[in-house]
This record gives sequence, structure tokens and C-alpha cells, in this order.
Amino acid sequence: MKFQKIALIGNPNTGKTSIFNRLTGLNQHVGNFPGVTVDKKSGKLRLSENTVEIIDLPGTYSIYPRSKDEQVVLDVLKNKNHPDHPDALIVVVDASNLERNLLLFTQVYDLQMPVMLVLNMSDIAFKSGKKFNQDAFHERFPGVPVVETNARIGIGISRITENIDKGFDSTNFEAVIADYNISSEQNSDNQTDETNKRYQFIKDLIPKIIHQEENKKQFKVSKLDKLFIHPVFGYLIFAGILMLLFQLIFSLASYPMDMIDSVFGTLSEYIQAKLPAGLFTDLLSQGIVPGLGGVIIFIPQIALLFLCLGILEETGYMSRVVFIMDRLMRPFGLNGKSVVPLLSSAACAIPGIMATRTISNWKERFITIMVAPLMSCSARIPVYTLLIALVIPSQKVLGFLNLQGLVLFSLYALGLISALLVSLVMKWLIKSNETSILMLELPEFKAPRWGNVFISLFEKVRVFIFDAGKVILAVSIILWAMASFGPGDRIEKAIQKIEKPAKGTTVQIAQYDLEVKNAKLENSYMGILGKTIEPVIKPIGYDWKIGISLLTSFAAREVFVGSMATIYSVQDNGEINLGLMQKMRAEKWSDGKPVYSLAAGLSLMVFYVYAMQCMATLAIVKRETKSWKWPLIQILYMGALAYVASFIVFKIFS
Amino acid sequence: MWYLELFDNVVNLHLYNHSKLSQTLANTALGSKVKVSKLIISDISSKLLEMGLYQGQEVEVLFKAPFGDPIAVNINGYVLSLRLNEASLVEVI
Repeated sequence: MKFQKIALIGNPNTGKTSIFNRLTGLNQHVGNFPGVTVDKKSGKLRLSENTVEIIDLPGTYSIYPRSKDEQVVLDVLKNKNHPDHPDALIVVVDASNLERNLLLFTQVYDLQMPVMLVLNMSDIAFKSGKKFNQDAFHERFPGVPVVETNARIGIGISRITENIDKGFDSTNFEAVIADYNISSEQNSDNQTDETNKRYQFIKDLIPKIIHQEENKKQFKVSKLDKLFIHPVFGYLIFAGILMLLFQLIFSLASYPMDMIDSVFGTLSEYIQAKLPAGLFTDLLSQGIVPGLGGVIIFIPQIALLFLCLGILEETGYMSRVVFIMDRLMRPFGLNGKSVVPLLSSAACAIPGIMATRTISNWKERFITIMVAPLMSCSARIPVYTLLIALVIPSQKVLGFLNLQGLVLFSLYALGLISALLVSLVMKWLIKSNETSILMLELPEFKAPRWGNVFISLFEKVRVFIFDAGKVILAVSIILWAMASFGPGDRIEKAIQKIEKPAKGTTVQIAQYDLEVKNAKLENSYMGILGKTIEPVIKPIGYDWKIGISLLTSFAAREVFVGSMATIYSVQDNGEINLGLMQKMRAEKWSDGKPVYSLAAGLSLMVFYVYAMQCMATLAIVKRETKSWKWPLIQILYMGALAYVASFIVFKIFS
Repeated sequence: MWYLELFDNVVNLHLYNHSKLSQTLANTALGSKVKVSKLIISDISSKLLEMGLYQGQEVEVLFKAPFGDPIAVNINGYVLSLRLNEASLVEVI
């Protein structure tokens, strides 16, 4: 019998993913299981004659589901009509921890499907004096091929492939538990009885199949663990690692990001210059190319962050972070596993939200996703810098603190505190009957398997580009169209009004170009919309010019600065823009009061702390929750929060 | 509020340590080796069982997180971390 489709199943931390990676290499695909948020990872294994699809099922301790997402494993295995129902199963078990691992094996075996057993890390188990007796095992499980592997260094993988090629059949069998009938009902007496019976069976079986020399190893708490969970050093080390991580991301990511920025900028200009002027050229050079650039620009940050997180995960350090942070996060309706996604969001919410996959509790995962964008990300820095330089005087407080720095720090703190408070509110609002549990295995410390780190990094980048990228590109084209077209000949008329220097200097011509750009934006649908919302944003201190920039910066927060430059007809030179600041300072309301007062400036900063001004984040939230409902709720609640908070700040300071 | 919960927890921990009612994994001293005698019925019983905490299983309390919660135990050679409220559902002797 030739297998077409084989599923890998096993406990977490057994090296199942390593085996999957060894079997399929980069030939992997991430897809959907219908109706749930877990991803389906599958890949192709080429054999001598045919190709087999390998599905990597989510790691699990039992096939009894505890949540809708875990239900998927059971559905795939039990329902023969399920599109992902495999022909055979490979159960990956950790050879050094057979008792608990064999529980899943016996459950799977009783499903009456062809099963292969992979004993991973058997060489580590050997070291502690164990030996696996295959003959004794086959006496009880005749049709089950057993392969001993060390996936870390690739030993035994070819034997798995040989067995798949040969085919195997364990369905002519004697069940471990007769009349085995899994129901989705949880914690029924039946289930507990059955599990106890299975353990009894395993306890009787193990002495037969494992030849163990009498040197029961004494378990010792490692020195590293003593350090990592220390009440003082544990947190200090974590803070140190975080600082290093951010340093790395901010210092390293900026080079490729600047490069991507300039490559796409040059490409835009090139297209504009070389192709005949017209709608298509504009669409290409101002819509599609910058849109693609807006997707690609995130890759360095995502890749670097997942490189670091992957290393921390692989070494086993991450589970220690969860262990020491869990107690602190729990009161907010979060989980120790929320810490890393939230802190990653201080660099960029996109990888932060993608990192929430490890949170198995539905409610805790959703809360983490919902509040992650409140953490101040790097895209807010240009906005904060401009506004702080504009309205906050550079002076010392208490003799040594720089006031501008203090304001910047407060904005970061405001984001963090708000994230925690909103979590607290959502904890009460979101109803769930799924009990929050931690129960996490703390694996032994080991060197990272680089293959796994890089494959998961590629997977994340791929998911971002192909799933979120589509939405980002679509939204950027819409935003471009809104900012480029106006009703009737409004834009043309506005441009005609600008006096064209007949034989001006280059400076004059450049100034003319800037003014044309401004006229275009001001009279486009986006500009008109910005003016229309002025009555709404006036109570929080903004004029229509800010209104337009708020709308355009929905693409990404830092676009605010560029839009302001366009509106004030000054060059956008990226860094602290003195020309722009001069013009903004000079801006007056009709009653002569300056627009950029301290109150308005602070109000705008607070607005940017809260508002969901990032389509890329919305796209990734949609990707991770598999529904538009959550990104919509997110944009609404964050918008409301932004408006109310800005209103309060504006009233207090004016 | 969260700090009240934290306070509650400290009090509870204190009670756990001094209650003579029943010994559970939650009030077992660091370093001591015990045997699971019973799982108190709850909606996570099956999960506890699946993690290897069946009746008769030997468990050793290895270390605790900074606020005394969660704790880490050695079950048959692997380290499981669990919260105090989860551990308090595991009666031991």
C-alpha cells in the first residue's frame, strides 16, 4: 500500500518539528484548517517513485481536545472524509520520557490506522542506561515499525523514509482499550478511567520494552535554572536580554530598511521618469511600487525578531521567561506567554502578534493580540520626535532630567500601562468557559537547532508577505487613489491657480513642484475628507491639515511626517525637519492663536499612542484571527480611546 | 485589583502551608518527594492526568517562581511547571 498523505503527531518538545523539517526541508506550505486559527503545516517528501504529503499536526499531549483549536487534531484523525485525513500516522515520542509520551501513542494506535513509532533523542536516553527492546515491543504491537532517531543531527531520518516507502500496516490489531470511542465531552469519568487504564498498561509495558540498568538518575536543578528563575537575577537577566534584543533590532534593522526605502523610492522615480505620463504610470509608481515597498520594509524587523525569539525558544530559555512572568501577567487576564509578544510589539506589533501563536488559551491569546498595538512601536518615533521638538521646550527638570526625553518616556509608559489596563477590561468583557491553565513543560537547556530557527523564520516572513501583504497592497492602492483623485476638475483648477515661474531658479521650480503636490493632496478625496472631519477633530485641537495627515498615516504612522511636509509644501528630508517645523509653528487659527500649542501637540502625541494607525497590523490581526471581526473591533476601540484621551489632554492643557 | 489578588495569593499560600486538611502539591515543601494520592475533580483533571500526574506517580518539587507561583516539579524525569491553583488539585502523600 502506497501512502499519499502522512501526519506527524507527538507531544510538544519531542523534536517532532525537527523531524518534519528533516523530511520536507524548505519544501513546506502553511495553510488553513477550516474554521480554526491553528495553521496547517504540510510539506512534500519525495520518494523513489512517488511523493508523499506530510502534515505536521500541532503538538499535543492527548488527542482529547480541550479547545476548538485542539479539536482539529481529532477531526483530522477520526473523520475519514476530512480533506486532510491521512493514510498513516507517525507518532514522534521523546525516548527519554516514554511513559507520558506513550499515552498519546496508545490513543493513536487504537484509532486503527497504520502507525509508525519514532523514538527521538534515543541516544540521550541510552546515555542514562536505557535500551529499547524492539522485539518485545513488536510482540505487543506487531505492525508498528519503530525507528530510533536523533533529529538534531539527522540520524535515523532515512529509516523513516524507507519505512514510508515500504508501507506499514498496524490495523490488524489488538486494541489497548477495547471499545475505544473518543467523544469530545471533556473530563468525563470515562475519559479519566480510560487514561488511567492506559497508564496502567504503559507501566506494565515499559519494563518489558526498556532494558534499564539500575542507575536511576538523580534529578538535579541546573545552575542555569537557579539563575534564570532567581527573584532578582532572573528578572535582571531577562531585562538584559531584552535590551540586547532591541539594540540589535534597532541598530541592525535600520540598514536594510533604509536600503529598501531608497530602492523602492528610486524605482518609483525611475518609472515616473521613463514611462509615458498617465494613469497607469501613476498607479504603478505611486500606488503599487510604494505599496510593495510598504510590505517589504517590515521584513528586516520581522526576520531579526524571529531570529532572536527562535534562538530563545530553541534553547529552552523562553519557557523560563513564561515561568517567572506568569504570576505578574495573570491579574490582567494575560498569561506568562503574553510577555514576549507584548514586548516584541515595542519594536513592531506585527511580529509581536505573530508570536502569540504559542498562547494556547483562546481568550488570553485574543487579549494579547488586541492590546499589542498599544505598545509604542518604532514607527511612532518619527511622529513623537517631530511633535516633541515642536511643542516641548528643551529644558531640564529637577536639574538633570531632559524634559523632552521625559515626555518621550511618558508616551512609552502610557502605551504599556494602557495595554495592561485594556487587558484588564477585556478580561471582564470577553466571556470564555475555557479555564486558563499554564502547565508548561520546562525543557532542558540545549544549543539551538539552527535549521529549525531559520525554517520558522522563513515561514513567518512568508506568511507576512503572502497573507498580510495582499491586504497591505490593496489598502495602499486605495489610499493612493484617494490621495490622487478629486471630484471633477478640482485638482486641475487648483494647480492652474499656482503661479508657475516662467524662468525661475531651480529653487523656485522646486518650490512650484511642492506647491503642486500640496494642491493635489488638498483637493483630492483624501483632502476633502480631511477638511470634512475638521469639526470632529477641532475639539481635540486639530485643524484640517492634521486631519488629512491622520487619514494618510493610516498606511503607517510615520507617513504623518511626510504628509505634513506635503501639506506645508516643504521637502520631506526625513530627519528633524526644521523647514516643516517653522511652518507648523507659524500656523494660526482664524482667531490668531497658534494651532500647534502645547495642548494640541500633547493631544496629538496621545492620539498616536492610542490610534490604530497601521494597516499592516490590521492585516496581520486578520491573518492570525482568521476573521475581520477582531481587526474591526480593534480599530474602533483604539480610535475611541484615542479620541477620548486626546480630548481630555487637550482640555487639561488649554 | 491585581495587587489585592497578589496579596490574596500570599495569604492563601500561607494557609496552604499551614492547613492540616490535606496535603497537595501546592503546599509541598521544596525538595520533598511525594506520591500522587488523588486528583480533585475539576475541569482540568484530565489535563493533569495527561501530563503524567496519575495516582501513584512520584513527584518532586524542584523550584518555585519568584512570587511562589508557579512551581516546577519533576515527574518521571521531565520538568513540569504548574500554577498553585492547578497544583492544589493534586493531593499527595
